[in-house]
Amino acid sequence: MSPEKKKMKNSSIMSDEQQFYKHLQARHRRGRIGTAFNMLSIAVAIFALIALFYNVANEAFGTVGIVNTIEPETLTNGRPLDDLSNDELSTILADNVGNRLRVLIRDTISQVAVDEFTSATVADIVGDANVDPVIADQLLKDITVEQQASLLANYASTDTLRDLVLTEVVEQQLIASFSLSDTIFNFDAIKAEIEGTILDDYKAKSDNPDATVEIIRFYSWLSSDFISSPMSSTPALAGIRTALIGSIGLMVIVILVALPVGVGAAIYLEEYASDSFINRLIETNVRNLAGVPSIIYGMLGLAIFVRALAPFSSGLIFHYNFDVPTVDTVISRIAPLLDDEIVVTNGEIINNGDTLDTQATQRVVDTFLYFGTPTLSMMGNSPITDLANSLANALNTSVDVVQVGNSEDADIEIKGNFYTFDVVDAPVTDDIFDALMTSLIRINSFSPNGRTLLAAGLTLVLLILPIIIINAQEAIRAVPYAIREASYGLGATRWQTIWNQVLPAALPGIMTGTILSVSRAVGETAPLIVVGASTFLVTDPNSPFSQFTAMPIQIYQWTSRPQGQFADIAAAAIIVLLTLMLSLNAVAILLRNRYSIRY
Amino acid sequence: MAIQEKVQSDTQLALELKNVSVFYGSFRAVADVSLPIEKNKITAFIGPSGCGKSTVLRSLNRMNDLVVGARVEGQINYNDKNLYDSDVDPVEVRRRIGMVFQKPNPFPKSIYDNVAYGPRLLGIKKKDVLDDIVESSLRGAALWNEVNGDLNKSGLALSGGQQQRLCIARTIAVEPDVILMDEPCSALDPIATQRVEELMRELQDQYTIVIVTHNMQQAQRASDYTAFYNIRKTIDDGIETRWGELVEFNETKEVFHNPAQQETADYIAGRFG
Repeated sequence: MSPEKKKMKNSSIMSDEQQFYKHLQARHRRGRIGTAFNMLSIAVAIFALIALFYNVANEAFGTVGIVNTIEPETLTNGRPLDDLSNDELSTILADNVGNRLRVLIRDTISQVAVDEFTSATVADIVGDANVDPVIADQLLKDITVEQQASLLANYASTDTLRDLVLTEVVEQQLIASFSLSDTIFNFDAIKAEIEGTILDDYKAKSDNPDATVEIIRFYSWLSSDFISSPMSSTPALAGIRTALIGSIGLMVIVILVALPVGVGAAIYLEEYASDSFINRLIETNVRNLAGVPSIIYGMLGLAIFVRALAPFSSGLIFHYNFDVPTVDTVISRIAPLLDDEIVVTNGEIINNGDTLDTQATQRVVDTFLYFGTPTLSMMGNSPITDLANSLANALNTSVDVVQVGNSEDADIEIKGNFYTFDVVDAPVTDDIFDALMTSLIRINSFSPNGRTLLAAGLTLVLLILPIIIINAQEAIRAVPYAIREASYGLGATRWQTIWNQVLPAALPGIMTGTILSVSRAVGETAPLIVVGASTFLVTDPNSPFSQFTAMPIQIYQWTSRPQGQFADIAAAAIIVLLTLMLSLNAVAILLRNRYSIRY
Repeated sequence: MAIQEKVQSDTQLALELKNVSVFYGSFRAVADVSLPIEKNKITAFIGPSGCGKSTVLRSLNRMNDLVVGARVEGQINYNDKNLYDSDVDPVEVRRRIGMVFQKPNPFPKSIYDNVAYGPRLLGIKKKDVLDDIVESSLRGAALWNEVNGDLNKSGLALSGGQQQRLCIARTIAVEPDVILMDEPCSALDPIATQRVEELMRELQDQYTIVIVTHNMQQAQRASDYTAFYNIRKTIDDGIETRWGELVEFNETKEVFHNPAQQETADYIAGRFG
C-alpha cells in the first residue's frame, strides 16, 4: 500500500465516527456467532458422549431372570447346599454327571498337562503318591465312578465342589434379560412378564414344569467372573479373558517392535538424512502411509506375516509346538509296525527282527528323520509320491503309487485323496508299507499356521509405524537447536549428541505419541479380522505363536449374534476395552506432565 | 591425523586465518579474511550486523559444518595444521576449540551433569575424577561459591548470568586451547556482563579467547586485539550482492584511538551501524 493511499484510508476512518460504532457492533456480533457455534460443537460432542455411555450402561446392566434346571432342594432333601460336606457334594456330582466326572477332575484337581491326562495314572493326576494303593497305578478311565468321586471329595475344596454342583447339576439358566432403563423405570412390568409369559414359555419348552424363576434386579454383566472366564457359547458363562490376554499380548508386541523401529527411522530422517530427492520421497510416503485404511494393512499383514513368513510367525523355525523327531521316537513309531525288536546301542541301531535287517532299518529311520524335520526349504506336506519313493528306496525296493478316486479301493486317505501302494518286491508287505507310509505322512504333514499373535502384532506394528515415526520426528524437531549446538561445541559426536541430549529431551513426546498410537492399535478390528483372529477361543494365548483373539474382535463377534444376551456381554466388554484405552491415555498424559522439559 | 600431535612451534599464534572465505551454498558471506589470533590474548570481532564476524568465529571450530551447504575456502591454521584439511576430525577440533553461545544454553540436566558432560564424552567415568573436574571448572568460571552444595539443581534454574558462566565452566571442563565466545553477554544485564568480562580476564592466563561483540565498550575494556569487519556491497543489474570483509585488525587501543581506516573511525564513533 502506497503511503498516500494509507493516509486516505486512515483519514476516512477517523472522520466517520458513526461508521466506527456501526462496525464495532457488527464485529462484536460476529464474535458472538462464532462463540455460539463453538459452544454448540461442544454440546454436540457432550451429547454424543452421554449417548455412548447411556447405551453401554443400558446393555451392560439390567434385570435377569434365572431358573434352575434341577432345584437344589430336590438333590439334598431340603438342606441348603452350603451345609453339605465334600463327600455329599461329590456323591451328588457322581449321581448326576456320570462320565463327565473325569472332565471335572481334569479341570479342577489334575496336576498333569491336558494332553497327558488320558495316559496318566491316578497317583500322577492327583499329584499324591500316597493315594489309595488300589487305584494309584490305574488310569482314570479304569476306575469306578465312586472312586473318581472320592478323589474329588478328597482333593477339591468344598467351594470348588459347590460351584461344580451349581454349574453342572443345578445348571442355572438365564431365561430373561432386560435393559437398565427398563430396570429403573419399568421394573414391575418386566417382573410380571418374567414370572408370567417368559416362565410359562420356559416350562412349556423344557421338561421342568415346577421351575421357579429368580429375578435379579440390577444384575451386572460386567463382573470379575466376566473378566476371568474364557469364551463360551452360553452368554451367561462367556468371559473376556482370552480376548483381554490377546489384546495385552498384541500391545506388548507392538510396543517392543514399533517403538525402536519407529524412533530409529525418525532419528535417521531428522538427524541424518540430507535433503535429497530420495529422502523427501521417503518422508512423503511415511506421511501418506499414516492415512492408509487399516484394512489395507490387514491385507499386507496377511500376505507378508501370515503367508510368506508363516515358518517364522507360526514358530516353526524355532521348533515351537513341534518336536523334531529323534531316533528314539522314530524307532518307537516304526518298531510296532514292523513287528521287529529294534534297539539303539551306543548310537547304533540294531534290528534283531525278521522283517528288516539293521541297514534297512537305519535307512528307514533316516528317511523318517529327514521328512519329519521341517526346514525352511522343505515345509509342510511333501507330495505323497516323493514320500513313497523315498520310503521304498530306504527299503531297497520300489513302489507303484496309484491315486484312486474311490475310497473302497484305497489303502490310505490323505486330505480327501485316496491312494494305493503296491510294493514291487520284498522285504515288506503292502500292509506294512501302508502302515509305515501313514506314520511317515503323519509326522511330515505339519503345516505351519501363520495366523498367530505374532503375525497380528506385526501387522499392527505396520499400521502404527508411520504415526510413531511422524510423532517421534515432531518430538525430535522440538528439541532446541541450541542444545545440539552446545553438545557439538563440547566435542560430542553426532551419535553422542543424539543419545545424550536429543533423545532424552524428546522422550516424553515420543512416549506420549507411542502410547496413543498403541491404544489406537489395540482398538483396531479390521486388520485383525483379515489376518485371522479366532472368533471362538477358549484357551489363553501363551506365546507369540498362539492362536489369538482380541477384544474388538470379540465385541464385533458378540454384537453380530442374534441372541440379545450377547449384546449385553458385548457392552460389558466395551466397558473393559474403554477402561483399558482410557488408562493407556492417562499414562500418556502423566508421562507428558511429569517428564516434559521446559527450556 | 590428530591436530594436537603436531610439534608445538615457537609461534605465539593460537590460530592463523589465511584468505578465509565462507560460503553458504553459492552465497559468499565473508570474503578473504586474514588475521592472526595470538595465544593467551583476547581478540574481539566487532562490526555491524551482517558483516560476517559470527560466521568467521563459527568457522574457527567448524561449527559451520552443521549448516547444510556451508563451505570454507582458505586456511585456518591451528598448530600449523589447517583445520579444514580432509584428515582433520571436526569432533577433535571442537574439543580443542570450545565455544560459548549468545544465548545461555545449559543442558536440561543438573549443574553437575552439565559440567561433567564434556569429560564424560571423552570417556572419563571415575566419580572422584569427575568431581575434581566439576569443582575446578566451576571455580574457574567463578560459579563455585554460588552453586556449591547445590550441584544437583537443574542448570536451567540458575539466573541468566549464572547460566552463561555455567556454559563457560562446561566449556573449560574439557580444557580446550581456545574459547570462542559469540556475543556471550548480549542476553545479560550489566552486572552479569561485568562478571563475565572479569572472568574472561582471569581465563586469559590459560586460554586464548576470541569474542564477538556488539558492545564497543566491551571490546575496548576486555580485549587485547580488535578486528573490525564491515559490509561490502555491489549492485549488478539491479541485483544487490552483500558480503563481509575484514577492514582493520590491530591492538585494541590502536583500533579505538588511532584507527587506520576512516570507516573504522566512523563505526567506533557511532556514525553508522
